[in-house]
Amino acid sequence: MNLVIIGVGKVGETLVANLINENHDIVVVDISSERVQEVVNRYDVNGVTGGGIERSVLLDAGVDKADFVIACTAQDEKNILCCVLARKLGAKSTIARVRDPEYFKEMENMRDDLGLDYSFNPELETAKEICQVLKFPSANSVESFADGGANMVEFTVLNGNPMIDKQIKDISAEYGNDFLFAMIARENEVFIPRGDFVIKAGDIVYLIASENSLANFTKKLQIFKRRSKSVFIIGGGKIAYYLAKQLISSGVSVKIIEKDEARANELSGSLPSATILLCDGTEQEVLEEEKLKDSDACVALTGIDEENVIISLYAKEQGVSKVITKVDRPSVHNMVKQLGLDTVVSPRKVIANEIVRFVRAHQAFTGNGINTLYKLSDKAEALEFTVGNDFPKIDVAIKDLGVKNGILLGGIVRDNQFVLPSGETKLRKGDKVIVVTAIRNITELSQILR
Amino acid sequence: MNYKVVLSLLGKTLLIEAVLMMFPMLVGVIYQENNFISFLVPILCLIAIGAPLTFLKAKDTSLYAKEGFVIVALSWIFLSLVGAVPFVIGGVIPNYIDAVFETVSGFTTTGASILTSQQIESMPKALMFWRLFTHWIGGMGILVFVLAIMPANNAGVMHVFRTESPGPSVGKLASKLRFTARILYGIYITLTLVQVVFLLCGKMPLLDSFLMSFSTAGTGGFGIRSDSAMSYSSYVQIVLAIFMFIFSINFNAFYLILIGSVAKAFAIEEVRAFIVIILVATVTITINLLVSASEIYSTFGEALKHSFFQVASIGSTTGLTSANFDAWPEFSRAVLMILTIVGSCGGSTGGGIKVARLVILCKSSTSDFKRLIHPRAVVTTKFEGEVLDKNTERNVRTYFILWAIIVVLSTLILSLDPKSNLFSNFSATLACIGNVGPGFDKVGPMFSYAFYSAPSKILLSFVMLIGRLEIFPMLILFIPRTWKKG
Repeated sequence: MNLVIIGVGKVGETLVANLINENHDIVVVDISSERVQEVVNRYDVNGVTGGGIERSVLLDAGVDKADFVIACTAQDEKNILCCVLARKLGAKSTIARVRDPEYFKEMENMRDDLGLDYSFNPELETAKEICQVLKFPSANSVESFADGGANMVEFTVLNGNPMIDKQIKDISAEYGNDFLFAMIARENEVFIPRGDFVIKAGDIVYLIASENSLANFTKKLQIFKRRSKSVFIIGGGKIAYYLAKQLISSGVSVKIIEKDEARANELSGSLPSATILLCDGTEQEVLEEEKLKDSDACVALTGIDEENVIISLYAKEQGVSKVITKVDRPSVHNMVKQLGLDTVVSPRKVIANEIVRFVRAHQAFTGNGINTLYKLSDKAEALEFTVGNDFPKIDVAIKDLGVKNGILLGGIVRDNQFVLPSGETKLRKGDKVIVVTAIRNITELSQILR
Repeated sequence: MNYKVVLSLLGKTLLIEAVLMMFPMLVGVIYQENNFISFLVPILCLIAIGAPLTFLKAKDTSLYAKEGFVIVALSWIFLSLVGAVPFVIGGVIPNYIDAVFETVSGFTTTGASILTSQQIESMPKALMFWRLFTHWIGGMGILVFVLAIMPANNAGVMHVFRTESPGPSVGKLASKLRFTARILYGIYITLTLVQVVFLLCGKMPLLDSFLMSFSTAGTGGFGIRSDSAMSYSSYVQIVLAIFMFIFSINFNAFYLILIGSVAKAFAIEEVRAFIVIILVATVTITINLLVSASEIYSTFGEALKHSFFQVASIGSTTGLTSANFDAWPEFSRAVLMILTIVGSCGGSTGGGIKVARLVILCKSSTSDFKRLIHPRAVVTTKFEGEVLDKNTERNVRTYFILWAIIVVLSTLILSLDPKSNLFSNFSATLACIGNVGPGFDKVGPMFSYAFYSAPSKILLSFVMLIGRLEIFPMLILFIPRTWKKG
């Protein structure tokens, strides 16, 4: 498909990096010729220098023939305008990044009038992801499928974990047969495991199960952590605002540290039930005085990666049970994890997943596109599909489906109940199926068949 | 330096050359010349070296600017070294250094020859095919061809493309590099075939039509007759002149015409400037020829035809000749020498310092003058409707300075050759670095480069490569830091 990406800042470039692997023809537009040059050198894309609201620039970039125009410049207004103009010039679908909470609230109402197909808000999505983890702090990350009908959680297997040196089939037998090992990451490789796979210390495992079974499983392993009731947020940006809002609505007490006075005042106005502290979050005295160590969780959300890492290390040392670190540069994620900070979030990565899913869903011929997509690494992803009428093998047992190598059916959600698939399970119409795959570019369910 | 990636791309290039060499071998078989052995040996060598290299698997496959330069420079050197072998085995050019000179001259689309008229007349068809085919291969670039057919997922292959394609700023036509390369080769092949048809209409034999089309398409300039294009009919000469002109226009213009935006194609500043240069040169030379005392051409038509042919030939850096222009009046010779320096458009198959660079140089000098007069003025230089970025501007100036230094040094070193004279050396250097071919005086259209000694021929071969690859890639090979790790 032909994609035009307007604005190649941090988010824009991450989108290019993810979408180029899906084999699209991409043209990038940016006002800075140096940025365009850099991106064109790094990826096999074409570049146009110029503002995104200039007709001639947009036509040079070929928006009239584009299947998707994605606007992610720094300004919301500009993004919306770009998309309106692109739509007028003939673009088939448009996506705009809209981050300002006030605009985003109105997006639902304005979207149709503006001809926008989709608007995304990396900060809000990131806040949602953090919120999920805070509900189930035992995991490094929690991804939910089928509106919460099934969850996929990521754990790091630390020393002393009873799973170490055991085969997966034995672990299942011992701790209850209601979860599934979807994938294991070991050093730089990923495995979609079979029953005889042996877990080692340091592995990162991905489990798929219902919320309750996951809680039970972690309790049995004695790595269960209680849902966080008091959260300490350092840095009062947009993510902090969205996160605090969600946490407060579910009854969690929130403290936010912000060093800019104007912003702190603003936050205290918009979040009356949160405690807003005006000071520098990197100062240990402040954190001690405010009893960081008594909170259930610490979320470092300042604008600087390095500061977030330092704050998180300090919080960890103080014994805070859950520490979440925002790191913008995806390239250093592994490095940060090596430091023992296992929950790292990045708005760029969150949103790349979302856009890749949206674009790929449009590629499906049948209209039964991908519901949810998570990139587990460069090599593997977890996808959710709904079984439709067109699926050729309805009511056929899974063992007789003829599923391609490198694909695992990770779970089925039927009538909002999680069903652990076995060889005898049959797929029915309306089932939501979770597929874990090492094969790239799957756009519809029938492609998992041989 | 990522050696594995460099070597594996080099291997692919060598394999492609092996495939390309099968064409002349086939010609030899068709014409029953029994000389396939002169191609079989180098083909086997290329496969023996190239195939193992392509199996090198690098962990990190990304290319950076440095690797791009090195790949292109090394590929061209190896192509020429192996490409010379058929001439030696075939016995046409017994001396290997002579053969290398001829091959480099072919690949770089220079068209400077060391062959005597007798050697040209008696050359077997297969070898003649290879000699002219090198023009066609070198015109668009062999690595561009490699990029067109191989599924390259390496990050940074753009560097390779940019290094091999001439011109100060190289852009893609399609968002995928592979498709850009295919579009370029598509235009190239189509135009070549159109020319073949036109030449066939002029009653030229089929093989000759192909060979002369290779020569013009690559803006090379080797002829298949010892008198270049002098003895062809007026029709053929005019067809050749028009196609030389066409192939020296920026290929972006053809792409724009192809997708239906003709107005945009003629709005390209470089193309406009080039057309003006050609028109002015043709008109002034025609007048000069008609009013000169020696009265070389009696009719206006003759004078116009020869002046257009020669202007198109030198301006496109092809170097075919319809007349002995070295015998023309001084003014006409001077105009042709300037055309040798300027050359054709960037993004074409031609050489020279490129019209785009000339326009940028003029404009940025004008801006500097404005700054002298109004020291506080904020002056921006615009090219092709956009503000010129500082990097391109600096790059063009550096290019021009290096170009001048190389011309001076090459003239100096050539003067050590006992049989040479200063003007011929200067002219030979210009003709080689501009990939034109014929120059003036001892290297004029009636003579060849044969009289130069072996070291001079090696130097001139190197100068031709410098000219074709636009200076930086060849020079970078000599910087020790290029070869260091990290």
